[in-house]
Amino acid sequence: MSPMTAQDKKLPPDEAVLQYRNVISFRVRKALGGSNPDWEDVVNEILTQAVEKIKSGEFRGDCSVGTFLYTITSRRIIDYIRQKTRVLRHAPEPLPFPDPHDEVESRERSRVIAEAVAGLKPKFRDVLYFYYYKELSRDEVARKLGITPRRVSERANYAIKLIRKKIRS
Amino acid sequence: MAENMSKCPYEDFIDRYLKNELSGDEQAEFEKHYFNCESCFTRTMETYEVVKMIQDGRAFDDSAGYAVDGPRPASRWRRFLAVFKRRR
Repeated sequence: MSPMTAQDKKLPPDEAVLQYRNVISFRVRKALGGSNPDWEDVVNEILTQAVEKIKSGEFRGDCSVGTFLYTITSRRIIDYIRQKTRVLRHAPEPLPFPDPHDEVESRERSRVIAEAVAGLKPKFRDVLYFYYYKELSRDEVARKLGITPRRVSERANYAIKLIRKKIRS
Repeated sequence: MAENMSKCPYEDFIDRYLKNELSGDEQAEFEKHYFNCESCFTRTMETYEVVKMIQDGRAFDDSAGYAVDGPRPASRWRRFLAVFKRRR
């Protein structure tokens, strides 16, 4: 993904749009949930729709391609949720069966993360524990630890940065 | 790249975005932003991956004693400072 520049405008529509596949996928997965089996179809529909709109001249370049794709993505997500809500009222779908390979990979990743977390200074570990693991709000964590909400974000971001470094090394 | 990443004012939105703590307007503003800002998108995605693993996994395994005992409470001095800062 990269923001659309004058250079991108020279690309054919499908190539220009494909550069945004990751960002669209992320937005869709966050909205629908990573375990939702439909997310990939929704992403492909968005990409197809965007290419068609660019080819047909509906996108006139009044905004960046990023903003244009953001709008299409947001609308498609809303449509999907509305549609799904209607379907679920009649026949709820069972949850997808977990893939054993994913399970093993996930366990291994968790182990690496656990080691990285264990190696953090207590003040960073505490923030991760309450903020992400116990899922308290930023204000609740701030009150609990006796620091400001802004400091909670700073510590959480720094801790994540350290963990990412450990994962990479 | 790393320098540009640290300068973006939207960086502060990342953790609250992933925790769904932004208001509706802030969320839309940030999403529109990361569709146009590669560094913010990269940071958001990387943070998301680590956070997911913390939430799904056993980073704070009960057997390690962490979740059972929990972290130590803030010192009285820190709690006092926090109350003072909030009042200001």
